[in-house]
Order: sequence, then C-alpha cells, then structure tokens
Amino acid sequence: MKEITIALIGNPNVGKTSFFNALTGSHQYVANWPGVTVEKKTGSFKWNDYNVKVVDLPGIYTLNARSIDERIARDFLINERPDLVFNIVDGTNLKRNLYLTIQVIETGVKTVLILNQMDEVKNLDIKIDTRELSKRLGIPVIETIATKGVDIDSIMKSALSDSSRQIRYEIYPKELEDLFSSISRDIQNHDELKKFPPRWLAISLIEGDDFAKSIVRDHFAVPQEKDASLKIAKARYDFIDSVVKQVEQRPKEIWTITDALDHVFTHKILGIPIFISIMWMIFEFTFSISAPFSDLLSKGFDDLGSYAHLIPGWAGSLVGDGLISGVGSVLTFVPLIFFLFFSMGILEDSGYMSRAAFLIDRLMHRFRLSGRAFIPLLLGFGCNASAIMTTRTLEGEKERLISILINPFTTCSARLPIYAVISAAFFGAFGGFAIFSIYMISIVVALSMAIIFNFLLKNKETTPLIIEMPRYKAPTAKGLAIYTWSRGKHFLKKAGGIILGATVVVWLLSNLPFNAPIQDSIAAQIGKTIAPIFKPLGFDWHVTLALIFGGIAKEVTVTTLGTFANGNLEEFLGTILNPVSAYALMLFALLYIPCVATQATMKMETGSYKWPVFSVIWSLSLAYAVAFLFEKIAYLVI
Amino acid sequence: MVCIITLNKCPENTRCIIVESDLPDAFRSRLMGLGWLPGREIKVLRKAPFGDPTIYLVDSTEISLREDDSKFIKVEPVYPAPLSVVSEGKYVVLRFEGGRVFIQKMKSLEIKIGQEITVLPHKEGCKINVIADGKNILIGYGMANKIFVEKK
Repeated sequence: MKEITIALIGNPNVGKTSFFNALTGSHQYVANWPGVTVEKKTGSFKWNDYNVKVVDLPGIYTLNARSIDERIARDFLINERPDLVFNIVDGTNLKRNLYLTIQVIETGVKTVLILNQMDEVKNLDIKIDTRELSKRLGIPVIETIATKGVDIDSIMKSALSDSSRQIRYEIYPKELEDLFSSISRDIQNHDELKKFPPRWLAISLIEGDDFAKSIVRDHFAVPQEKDASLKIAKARYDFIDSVVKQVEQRPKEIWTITDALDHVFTHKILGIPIFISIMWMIFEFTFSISAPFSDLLSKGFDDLGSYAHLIPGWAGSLVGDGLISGVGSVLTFVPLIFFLFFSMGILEDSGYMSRAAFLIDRLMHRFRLSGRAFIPLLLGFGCNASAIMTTRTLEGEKERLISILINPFTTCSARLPIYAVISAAFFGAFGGFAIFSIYMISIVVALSMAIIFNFLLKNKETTPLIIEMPRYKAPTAKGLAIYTWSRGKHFLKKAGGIILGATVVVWLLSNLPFNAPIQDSIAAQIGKTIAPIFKPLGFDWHVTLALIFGGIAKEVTVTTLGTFANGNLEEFLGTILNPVSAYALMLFALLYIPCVATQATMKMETGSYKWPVFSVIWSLSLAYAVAFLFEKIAYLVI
Repeated sequence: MVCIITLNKCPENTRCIIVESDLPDAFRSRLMGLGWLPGREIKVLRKAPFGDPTIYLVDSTEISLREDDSKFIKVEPVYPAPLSVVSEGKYVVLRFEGGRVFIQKMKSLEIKIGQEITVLPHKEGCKINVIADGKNILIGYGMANKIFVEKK
C-alpha cells in the first residue's frame, strides 16, 4: 500500500464539496483547523494499491493569503506539500477560475485541473477544448459532473500517469521573468530556503507577500519593483484571456433562467416582501414541522423514564431522571436541527442565500453586521443552539463571533413558557402585551449588543464585503441529505456529550443526599446560599433554583417552579413575586445565561471555552443590571 | 471629453472601465482575483431595494459590493452611458432603460431616441440642463440615469 495525499482547491461554489463527497463516499469527517474555526474536511479512499487521503481546502479566489481561508490553503500547499492537487474549476466560469489555477501551478505541486459542472456547460451551450486547455496550462485536465458521481479510476489514472510535461512559462513579460530567475538564483544559494519552491517564492516576493518576505528576510534583500503586483496580476489575466479565447466558445449573452429569477427575487419593490415570506416559511417549516417529532421524542423519553422508576431505589431515579432524561433532552433537539439544516441547505444550494444577504445588507450594516448575519438572528427566535451553527455562512471571523455572542439575546421558543406562565399569573388581559414587549426588548438588546461587541472587539473588518451571486440551481436530494446529515451529526457528537453531562450533574445535585426531598438537596442548598445575591431583584430561593436549572434548558425553569407549587403554579407564583418582580423575572429570563446546549454549541463553533464563559458572565451581569434598574425605576414610578 | 467617476455613482445598466482603485490592499487583491483589474469592463447590474449594495458583473461573475467600498474604485463609463454621468458636450439619445411611465414622460418632454442633445455644464447630482431641438430642458438626476446617450 502506498500512502498519498491529495488536496482539493478551488473557488467557492464550484462543486468542490460534491467532488469531495463523490471521491471519498461516506469515509469523511469534519474537523476544525487548529486555532481557527474554518472547517477542514478530510477523507480517504482506496484505489488499487494506494491509500489516498483527501484534504478539502477552503474555497478561495486567490492564494495571496490575506484572509484566513487563503492562508490555510497557501500554508497547506507550501508546508505540507501534498502529492497531488486537484484544482476544481467551474467550467461555466473558466476565466475567473483560472487565476487560482495559475497560482497553484506556481507553487510547484503536481496539479490536475478538474473541469466540473460540465452538465451546466452543455446547458449553456459553451464549448471547451479540453485538450488544448491542458496543453496551454501544461497540466492534465479532466471533465466531471461531480453531482452525478465521478469515475475515480480514470481520474486517478490520468492524474498519476507520469507525463511530467515540461511546463512552458509564457505568462509574464520578459522583464518580470528575468527578475524571477535572478531571485530564484539567490534563493537557491541558501540551503535553508531549499525546501520552498523557488519560483513561487520569487513571484511572491515581487508581489510583496509578507509571508514570503519573512522567509527570506535574514538571507538577502529583495529588489523592489513599482506596481509589480499589478503587473503580475495583469500578466496572468492577459494569459488567461488568450487561453480562454483559444479553448472556449460561448454563445452571445442570453437571458438565462438566473436573470429571470433575479429580476423577481432582487426586485426593488417585490424583493423584500418575497424575502420576508421565504424567511417566514423557513421559520414555520423548521419549528412547526419539527415540533410534533420533538414532542413525540420527549414524551417517549418521559415514558421510558417512568419505566426506569420501576427499578427500586436511587438507581431507578438516576437512570430515569438522570440518564434517560439527559439523552432525551439531547435527542429532542434532533428533529429541530435536522429540519433546520434541511431548509438551510435549500437556501444555500439554490443560491438564494446570497440574494437574501444582498437584499438585507443595508439594514444590517447599520448594526455593523452583514446581510448574511440576519439569518442566524431570525433563527435564534426558534432555537439559539441551532441558530449559532448557521453562523458558519458568515465570512469575517469577528463578525461571526459577534453573531454567535448576540444570538442568545434573541428569545428562543423555549423561553416562551416562562413568559406565558408569568403573564397569565400577573398581567391578565395585558399578558399578550407583556410577552410582546419582551420580544421587542429582545430585538433591541441583540442589535445594541452587536454595536457594543463591535466596539469591544475592535471589529474593523466591515470593509471587505463581497457577495458572489451564484447561478440558481435546483438543490439535489443527495446534496441536501449530505448537508443535513453532516451538520446534524456534528451537533449530536459535539454538543450531545456536554448536554448529557450537564443533565446528570444536575440530577446528582438535586438528589444528593440520597432520598432527601428536593427542598433539602445540595441544589436547594446552593439555591439558598446564593439567593441573597438575587434578593435585591425580589427573587427568593425557589426562583433562584429554578433559574439555575433553567440553565440546562430554559423551559425547565417552569417545571422546577412547578415542583414546588403543589399543582397550582399561578397561585404559588403570587405568593413569591409581585407584578414588578414578575416582569423583572421575565426580563431576567430573557437575558441571563445561554442554555447548556447553546453554550456547548458556542464552544464547538468558536473552538474555545473562552467565549461560552464570557457569554455566561456577560449576559448574567446584563440580566442582573437590567432587572435591577427596571425594579428601581418601576417602584419609583408606582 | 472623458469623465472619470467613482463606481458608486454609476446607475444601473451602465458599462464602465476600471481606471484605478484606492482600496485597502487585502480587499484589492481579492477583487483582483475576481478579475477586477484596471482596464477591465464592469457592468452595473442591479441596486438593492435601499440603493445599496449593488450587483456588478465582471467576466461572467456577479458580485455585490457596498457603496462604502465601490466609492474607492474609479471608473470611466463606456458609451452608451447614462446622461447623468456624462460631462458637457453634444450627444445622441440611444435608448431608454425604464418602464412605460418613464417612456411617457420622455414623450411629454419631447425627447426621442436618435435625437441630438447638448448637455450644458452642471453640478454633480443636480438636475441636468440640456438643449434639445433648440429648447432648454431640465432633466432630474433619477431620470437622467435612465437615458442612455452616445457621444456625438
């Protein structure tokens, strides 16, 4: 068996993921790059006597390494030196894709050009002379339709067939070429620099690349050339133009389906109403359709839990109330997460996501967010944990972090029972208005937090907002299945453990010492100990304990209070709260700590414990301050 | 006379050539990777409902840019260009990029396709003073965006 590594590289939206899936089948897993949250997918497959490892690099336009994605791709090509690079290219957009191809070839790794989306190419009546393209670029070119599967055997054969053709460099004008070769000679005089591909290093130095400069800083001085990076880019495009002119025949501009759809979807007047109705549909679909499944699961686990009580003693309780309800609380998320990613998959694969971002960008920009940040915010009203996972569609690292941190302030559906119970008990006819006001406050807080976090994190990333508008495509069942499954599985694996663990810990706290009623448990002791802190807010230890348990899942706040109430929750609430402290409790429940599932997702998405901890402390202080101020002012007014 | 304006000033359906950009390095190099280089042609496709951002087409790739960014890109409109971006001189009306109401309006102003007009000096973003058939007409900025003219 021979081990080889293949890297996949290409522009965004060229079908790289489909190609990856087609190559590796189900043998794939998702991993985070160390230190950053950009996803790296690796997978493997066997071919003849080769064990092939496939690394899917982030979708990028250039190798200039100014963004994290580009840096990851560049570092991988330069430092890890994969045996082969498959450069996936969108056949309908040869001109734009070849820029990256040229840069990849310059790194000196063996490159194969995968000309993908050939079905679209045929539909658009474009003709590409693959053989000529291969001759001009000096690398093998293979046509594929990755969404319909690929012929691994023929790809690997032509990729590995050692026809190491002499690459003719005909891209740059003579004066640049002379410069490159003189620098290449300098590079080859230094042993420490031998591990870097000399031509790549020379070109990057002239382009003024910081990483390249840092490599050679101690060895020799680089001649400075004015406007060299522009000249290089221009030379590359001139070369691409001449190649494309030679190999591609495309019909005159025609009115395509995409143009027609865009005319409607991005219409000046109709665009926004259509956007709102699509968002409403997604929201309804995700949260209404998944609700019966979630209810069914949680009922199933409740029943299972009560069967477990047939086991005598504390063991029955541990299994029933601890383990089974813990697993249950993880699994009730499953329908929600899967339906959500199913709809997100449709939005992304169809190409509508970019249009939505385009439509709403102006509004979001006021809060220093981009158009794409709208979708996680909206979904937060359903469930924060799953909404945070959708922030992956955001480009800027800091914007993504800000979107993650503000998301818990959008009031998720699990908090609704708390508001409903309190409103019914205290506000009677004004109950609906009380709940509505909480939703409004939620929106105001989330958006103001966006501005505050932007300031605190010194986010200056607002500049580069480029949204590419891909062609509209009908999402395929296979693509949606893979999208939904890979994201959903990820949640189960990563967040599941933490949620389960937390449920068991809470069970232990509320059941130790053994056989004690909940009023005497460790949890109650904790509640009573810290209750004085919440005294200024008018919350007693029952409420304190309920809020602590509510950290597991917000609806547990209500069920905990229910266990003290002996059947009549409204009457019981009347004895421990008054209308002012009741509304303060609603405010507090809105703002205080994200639930354990959300914290787990934060950890998973940011790659560190720092942010969930920060979020807990921040939101707890905010909730305390808001509830406290509200009561002080309310008592003054009344 | 050649007039160089910033990209954000170009109305929908304008074609223009990139002259130069003062964008931050990182952003410029990303745009370069998308084919946005001096000398290349951009088509302004569509503005968002609130006028920002705008979708542009360069080589068969559509991307959307904010006004905050596009104002750093200097371009030179290609004829036929909208009346709103041309400087003073003699022009021929080539086409109207508007709906029925707009074409009615043009009729009432007696501006016809193929007609020769003279644009008088005017301030940027203001009404445009033109002479058509010896008559002096003031054309609003929004309307001027939809009248495409060719240099006479």
